Amino acid sequence: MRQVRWGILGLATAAVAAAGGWSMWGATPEATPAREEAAEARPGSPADLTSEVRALRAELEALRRGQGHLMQRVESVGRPAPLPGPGEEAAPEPQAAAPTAQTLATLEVAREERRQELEAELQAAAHTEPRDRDWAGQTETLVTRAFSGADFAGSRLTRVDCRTRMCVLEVEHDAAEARAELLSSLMRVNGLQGQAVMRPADDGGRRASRIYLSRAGEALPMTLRP
Amino acid sequence: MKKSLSFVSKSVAALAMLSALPALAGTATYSGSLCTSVSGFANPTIFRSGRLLNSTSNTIEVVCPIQRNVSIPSFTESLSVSVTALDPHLTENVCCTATVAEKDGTALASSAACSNWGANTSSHNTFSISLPSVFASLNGYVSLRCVLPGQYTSGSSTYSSVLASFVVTE
Repeated sequence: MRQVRWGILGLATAAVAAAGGWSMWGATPEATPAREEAAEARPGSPADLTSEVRALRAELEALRRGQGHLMQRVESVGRPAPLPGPGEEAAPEPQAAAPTAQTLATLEVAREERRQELEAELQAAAHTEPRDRDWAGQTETLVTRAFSGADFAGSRLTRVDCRTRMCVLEVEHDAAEARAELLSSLMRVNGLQGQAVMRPADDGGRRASRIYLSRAGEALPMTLRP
Repeated sequence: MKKSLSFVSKSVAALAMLSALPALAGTATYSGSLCTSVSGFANPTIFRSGRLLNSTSNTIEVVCPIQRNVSIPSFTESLSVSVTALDPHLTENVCCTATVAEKDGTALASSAACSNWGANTSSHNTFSISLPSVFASLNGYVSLRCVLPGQYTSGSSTYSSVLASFVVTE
């Protein structure tokens, strides 16, 4: 009897070992290219930046999912459903409660993280996109000329670099007023009617902004969620 | 064991609820009469229907405020504006720019589009703008700026460009 028991145990161990070996053998070919890709990407190279952005995006996605679940739980705890007493008529459903300051603050943190992620995507595109010589040259001239106009008083263009679908502009401002009106003025220039995003890039006492500007009629290269 | 099973079932239920939620998007339609001229003394004509016309011979620029509909807890990252206009002008277009600004007025993102369907003296058409509203904080505001060409004359007939309405989806 004991021999039979040991025999069954031995067979089970062998089956487990075989299954483990098979699964490892099956997983290896899939894992290898990713490792090779990572090994090939030199630090600071476009491939390295792309993979870094991808990894950060995945991490943010996971964090956001966790945050969404937590916020739902917080909201469900914060709004207990009142139980009607005996003989008491069911009260009309109350209107949706206004979001609390804490909810708004959490949402604002999530939005800011997402904004940084999109900006990183724009930055990566600005570094990796090839240069369409004709369009880039013409647009750089157009932008440079526009900044000499009256609408741009108080703002100085310090750098403009156009690629295929977008340009990056670095601008310094004399006052907050000049920065506030900059995008509106830029979008009024004939030939620049696309999409534009401005990010304040202040450096000490110096007011500065970075602007990502798309080709007219096209959207900026970033992945917005619906 | 029972505790962990209960936790798992609760998590599954929460996930199911989340996936069952519809995409929270607020939609609102506004008439062109909401818009205000920013072209000095040149004023648009507002019809009783709420449509806004440029009955002058010069281009008119108008700005229209838009109510924000930020969805809690899952806000949308972009906002879409669909403009319905009449563009009878042969060489110029009705062009609109949607802008999201911080509450102090600093514009942070803009998108523009024009009536590129060619001149049409009788039928209104629609063009859309997609704005990355995620770049401004939740208290930021959105506005629409439109440029309407002056009247277009063909023979003995004169046609005005019209901003009839715009639909905002956030």
